Amino acid sequence: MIVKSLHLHHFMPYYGDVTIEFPEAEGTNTTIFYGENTKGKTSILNAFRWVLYGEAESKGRALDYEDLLNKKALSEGESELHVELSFSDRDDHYVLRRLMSEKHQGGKGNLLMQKNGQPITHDEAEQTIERIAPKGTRRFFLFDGELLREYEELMEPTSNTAKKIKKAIEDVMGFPTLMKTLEVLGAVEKRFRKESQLERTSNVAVSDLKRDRDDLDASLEEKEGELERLSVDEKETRARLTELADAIDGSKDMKDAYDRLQALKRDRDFYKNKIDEQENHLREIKREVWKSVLRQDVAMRAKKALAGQETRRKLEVSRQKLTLEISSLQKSKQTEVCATCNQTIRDVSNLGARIDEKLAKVEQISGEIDLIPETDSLIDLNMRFANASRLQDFLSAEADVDHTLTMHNDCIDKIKRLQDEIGDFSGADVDAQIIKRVKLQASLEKLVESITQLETDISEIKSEKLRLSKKIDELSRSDGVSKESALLQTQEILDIFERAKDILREDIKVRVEEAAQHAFLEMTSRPDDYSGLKITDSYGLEMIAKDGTVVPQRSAGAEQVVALALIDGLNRVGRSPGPVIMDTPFGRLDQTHRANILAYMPKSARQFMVFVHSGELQRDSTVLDPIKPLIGKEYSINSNGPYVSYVEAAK
Amino acid sequence: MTRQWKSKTLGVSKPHEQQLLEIKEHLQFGQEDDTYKFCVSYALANKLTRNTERNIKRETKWAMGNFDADGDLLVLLNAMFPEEEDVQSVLMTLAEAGIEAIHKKVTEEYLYTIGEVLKN
Repeated sequence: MIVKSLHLHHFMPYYGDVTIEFPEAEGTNTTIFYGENTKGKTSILNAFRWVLYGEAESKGRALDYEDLLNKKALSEGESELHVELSFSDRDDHYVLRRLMSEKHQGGKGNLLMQKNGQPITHDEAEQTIERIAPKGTRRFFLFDGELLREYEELMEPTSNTAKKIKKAIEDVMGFPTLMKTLEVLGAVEKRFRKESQLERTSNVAVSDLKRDRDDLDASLEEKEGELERLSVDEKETRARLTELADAIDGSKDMKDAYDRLQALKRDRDFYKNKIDEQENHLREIKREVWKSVLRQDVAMRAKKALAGQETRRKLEVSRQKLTLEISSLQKSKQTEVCATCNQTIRDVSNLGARIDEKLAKVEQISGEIDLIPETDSLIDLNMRFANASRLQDFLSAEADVDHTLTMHNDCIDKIKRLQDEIGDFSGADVDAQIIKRVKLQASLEKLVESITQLETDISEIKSEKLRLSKKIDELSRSDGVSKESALLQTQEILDIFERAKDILREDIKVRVEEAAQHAFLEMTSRPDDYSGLKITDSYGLEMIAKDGTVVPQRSAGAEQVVALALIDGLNRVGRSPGPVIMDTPFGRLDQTHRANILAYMPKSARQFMVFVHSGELQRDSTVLDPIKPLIGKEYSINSNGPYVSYVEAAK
Repeated sequence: MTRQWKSKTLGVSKPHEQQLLEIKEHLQFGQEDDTYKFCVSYALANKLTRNTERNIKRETKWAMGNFDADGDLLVLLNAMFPEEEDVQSVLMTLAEAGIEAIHKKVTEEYLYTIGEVLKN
């Protein structure tokens, strides 16, 4: 970092605009500000602090808006102040401007920054400052001589100041990053400790789930083994079925003939049985066939007989009627009274003739009745013959036997022909194969059903296993590392970082000690009496005599030189080369020390800016002689009243 | 008045008995008496003339009580031959006429069923 200029506007005692330019060349890198007390030297140091970090202080107290705004400007109604720092770093040019008004009270003002003429964001601005001039190093390159005593207190490690400076030193050396890491690791360790505790609880549930999953694995293995066996069986069964089908198809024609033969034999047996039945029946009805032959003739005779009986009955009725009439006539003849109407008959002479006529008729009818044959037995015979089969039925039964016999004989002929065709072919073998095929087919269907069931079971087991695994994963760690393991690893890392902290601290001490010792030997007025400096755990520096012993008592000047050496050492170790700005650093130093410091600092720092009062250094002091070629700028700080300071170029 | 069998037995001549047996075999009758009765009915149905003049020596073959146990044959002959005094003789002469006719048919024409016998 190379500072080009600093511009102030209504900042502290500087009313209006004040611009200070700084030499950049390495050969003329020193700027000296001369000013008496209260003129505004420390305010310029504060201007650097404020523009870079938004902070300014006086005697350990932070300055706020009212402290920062020039009192005269305030009295004139002005409310805004600002500081603008122009600098370069590497090949980039930056303009940093921080302004503050009433609305920024309590804050750090408004920060604006340009990089190579282009504005950059607030965050980028803060990152750039932290990279180029880390806030932690400000104590060392923005050096306030009035605070020099604080560094001397490092020798008293228990003091608050010592602790604060120690922290600042460690901040400069990168400790915050390490400490932040340790802090994060501590938080991680705490979290893992808690999760590990929970994990132990969940491990019981996980253990149960894993046992269930193991059971499923065993079941799965068993079922997959069974599935494999059944699949082999299925394949073999299908192969055997194919073989059987081929064999059966190969003997199809013979088998068909065989089947026809079997059917014919069944038919033959059927007809044989039928013949037996029909012949038995025929034999039965044949016993009465003589009746069947005569049945029709007897029936006709019986019909005639019945007609004769009717004739006889009618004739007998007529004869009986005539007999009654004759009886009535004979009575009327004797009584001469009509037997029918009881009237007197006047002439009975014709009654005798009528009686003779009717008697003759009766005799004729009787003759006719006698001529009609006795027919009761014939009618009775007809009824008996009616029980016999009709001749036609008998003949049909006989024809049926004949037909059945023909069918039977036909079967026998066909059987003989088929027997000749088939030879010794055994249809029973084919039947056995067919039965075997049916059984195999049934067996195959059962196998397929079992395989399907097994596949379903396996799928369900896998699904359940997956569910258990997910549950186990949820209860365990998703990355497969247990909390306990993570805790142990984190603790190991934490331990490494703890050790790294000690190593880094030791390394810092060595490096700071070397740099400080170099500065000390350059700046001390008694280099021949001291062999160097030795750094303490609290970053205090002990002076080591030539004989290697620690110098027990140090003069005030020696204390100040040691403190400056420490600051220089820290400045060199803690950041990239940049300016060193010192405010009244020579308070208790003798002329030799002041000369040595003035000679050393321009060589140590990229730019050296020093604020002195007349009690420290006069412009015409011979102390300045060795570094006069290095002085690029000289300014006088004066004032017109308490609130109007100004800076004048003296060279 | 119902006429009874004149004799308690029925006789068949040797030649007729032989023919009767052959007829029985041809036409597959179970019993000879059934064959005999069929021959009678055949003679009646075909109005075969009874040879009453021949002097044939017959030997007893059946007892009439067994031969015509239900009396149907007696009723038949009484009805069909009311003027005959000896229906047993009628029976035998009719039977012999039938036996001769049927035997001739079945042996000469090789007939084996009653239907064929009755048809021709």
